[in-house]
Amino acid sequence: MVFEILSSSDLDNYYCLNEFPGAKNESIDPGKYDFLTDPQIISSLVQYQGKELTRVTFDIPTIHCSSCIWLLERLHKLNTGIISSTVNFPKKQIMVSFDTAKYSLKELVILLASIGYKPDLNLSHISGTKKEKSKSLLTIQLGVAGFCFGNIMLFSFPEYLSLGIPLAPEYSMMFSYLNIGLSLPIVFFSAKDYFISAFKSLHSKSLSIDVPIALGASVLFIRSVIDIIFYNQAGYLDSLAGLIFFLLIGKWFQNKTYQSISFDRDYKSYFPISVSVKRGKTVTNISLSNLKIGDTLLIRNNELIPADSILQSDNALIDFSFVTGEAEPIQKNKGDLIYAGGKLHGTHISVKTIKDVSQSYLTQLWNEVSPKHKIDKNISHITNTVSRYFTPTILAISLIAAIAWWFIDKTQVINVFTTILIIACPCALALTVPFTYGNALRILGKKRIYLKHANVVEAISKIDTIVFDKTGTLMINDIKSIVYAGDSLSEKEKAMVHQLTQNSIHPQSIAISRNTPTQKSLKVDLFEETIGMGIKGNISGNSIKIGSTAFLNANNVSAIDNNINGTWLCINNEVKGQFIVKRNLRKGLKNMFRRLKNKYHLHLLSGDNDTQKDDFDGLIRPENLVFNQSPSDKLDYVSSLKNLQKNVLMVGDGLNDAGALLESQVGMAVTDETNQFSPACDVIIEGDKLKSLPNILAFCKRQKWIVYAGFVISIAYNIIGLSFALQGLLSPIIAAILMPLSSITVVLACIFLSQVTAHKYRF
Amino acid sequence: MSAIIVMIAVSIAIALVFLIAFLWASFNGQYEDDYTPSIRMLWDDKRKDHK
Repeated sequence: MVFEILSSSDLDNYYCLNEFPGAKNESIDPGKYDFLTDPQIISSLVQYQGKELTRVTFDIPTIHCSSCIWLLERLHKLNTGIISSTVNFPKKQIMVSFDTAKYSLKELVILLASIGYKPDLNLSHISGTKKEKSKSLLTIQLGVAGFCFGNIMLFSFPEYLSLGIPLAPEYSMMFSYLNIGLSLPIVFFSAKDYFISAFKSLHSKSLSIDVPIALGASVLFIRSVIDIIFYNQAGYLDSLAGLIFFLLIGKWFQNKTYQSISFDRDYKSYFPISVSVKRGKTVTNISLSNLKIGDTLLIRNNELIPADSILQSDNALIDFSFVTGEAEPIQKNKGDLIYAGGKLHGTHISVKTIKDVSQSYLTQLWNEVSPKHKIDKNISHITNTVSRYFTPTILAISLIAAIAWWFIDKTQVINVFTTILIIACPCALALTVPFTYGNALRILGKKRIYLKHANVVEAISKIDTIVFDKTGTLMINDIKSIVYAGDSLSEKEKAMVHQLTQNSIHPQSIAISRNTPTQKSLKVDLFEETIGMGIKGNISGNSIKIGSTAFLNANNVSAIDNNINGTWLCINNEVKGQFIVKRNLRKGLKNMFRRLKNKYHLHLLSGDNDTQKDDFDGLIRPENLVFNQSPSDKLDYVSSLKNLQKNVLMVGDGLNDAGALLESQVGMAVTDETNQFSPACDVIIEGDKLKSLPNILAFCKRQKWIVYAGFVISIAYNIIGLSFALQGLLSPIIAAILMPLSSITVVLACIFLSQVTAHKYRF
Repeated sequence: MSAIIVMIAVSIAIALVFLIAFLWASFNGQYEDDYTPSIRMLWDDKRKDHK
């Protein structure tokens, strides 16, 4: 069907570009997008809407190859109403402009969905847009600083190269005043964040690393201006420009972000934009934000229940695996309460809401936890700890030196005092953390372990307790290992099961037939498969059925077990037993636990029952295995661990872990596809990488030692500089050599060491 | 002597042109997507040799 659309518009070239372009297509139901005709929803989705032109940006997770770009940028050939479309590949976004009169948003979304690029539309898109401006501001600050730094160096060169022979005074005057002019943008634009941050830090009575930086920079600037204007000397403006330029490079290096991955998703990105509401006899689509208590909703197959509601239909099968961690779908009967977030399996149902979307059980949990203690992107604890001792020490040294010089040579007091503050300006110290952790972030990102920002490395290095979620995180459904439980089967019955399941290509049937090997060959009559229900047939006069309880329609179903979900076997209208899909640990995890258990406290929280407790025998202490945990239980468990002064790493995957992920010091979300939904967290890791968790933790811990090594190097340089300054010998040229030299040594050493450790701990 | 002053004026002017070009590019969002344009320029409108 996609081919028809494309070739009719002369775009069949698409298939020549890549071998396997496009994504697998799902059938689309145009009625699903009726909500896109609501003016209120339209205005909240589009960026610009005029009489002639509408501009809109969609997230399209399926953008994955160059063919996608080619096709999506040629949307105007598919419909004349579309004016232009631009793809942003790293963000997996498309910006479309279309003619408001000729085309509509709904048509556009249906067109995109029909060619396999279904836009991601959910509640978060209409409630507030997120914009990150700080990064582009940093780029501009860095560019301006680079410009000023280069030119100041150019005008300072004559001073360096004159080697003591004084330049013609009119030249040195001109160069110095040009330097003052060039340093103004650096101090008042590029470096302004350091002054603001230092001021804030002093206001909250702490000494962050920005305090000595701001102090050093302002002393540099004021001293240089006074030197130039009143004493006709060269000043230290080249050092000032270099300092700010290097610091900004460090900041920029640290600010690496993964554009297509979102770390801050909340329930809003999980919920749809609109729901079908039954009013009287008509069904209308309304925006989720307009949903009222008491509305009757129509939920179709695979749709979410958006608010806590009461079931109005007779029964329904709801999958809560993402919400509560229970693996099997749950049967609900008329009048039962259904929590928001459950996904419907099977035919459509109607429910009556009893709570607002934001007041529902799950969303409330999410709103309760405010991530106030979360790792700050801009504050590194190690650096600030060092700064707490560093700043008073430097102030003390400069004061003592000033007093000492008072008795030696009164004219030198100001000179010595200011040069100590200048040379002690902790440029290299402040660069250690951004470059070490920024580099670690990149190394991990290459291995598909995504950190929210560089300071997460520091937080990981402090971890001593790891809490795991079970379903989805550690255990995955392995349909290949399906086992039979129930009355023992005779050889003939086994052969019947084998023959019957051989006729179906359903994955469960294939697995069952493989697990019941037989020599006998029997003929199946009247074979019938009902999709989503089961299979049945007649073998040598016996009727045999395999499927859900509703399909079997046998007398003694409920008599066996209350757990009526799952796949059952029924021969001659008598239930024999059940086929159970076993959930297995992900590959390599047993080994992972063995390596972790000596170094960390391990805990396991599961929303499920304790049937698979034995799998963790000898891996996690029995008292740390906790089952039947609700999402809020998990949150409380993590916060009780935190109250015991533990540094907790929470590893989870679903909405049911969302509270615990936010509450823990480091939240790690496991996903099998990075563009899939994952709850708010600090780290996103792919499922098959989880087995290298011990190496990842060891790697991050090692980064801390690299930071210490960087501190030692930079303090060594500071001591050399101080020895000049204390003697009153720090000339501008020595400062201009020492400052960049120390920074470059530290940066190279840190990057080299973290590459070496990455090589050692492969993950 | 005056030659140097003229040269310095010229050098600063050239440097300023580059700075302005950089600022213009940043504000225009050229650094927001540094991957897609590299692909986009490779397409022809219609390939002649159909396989």
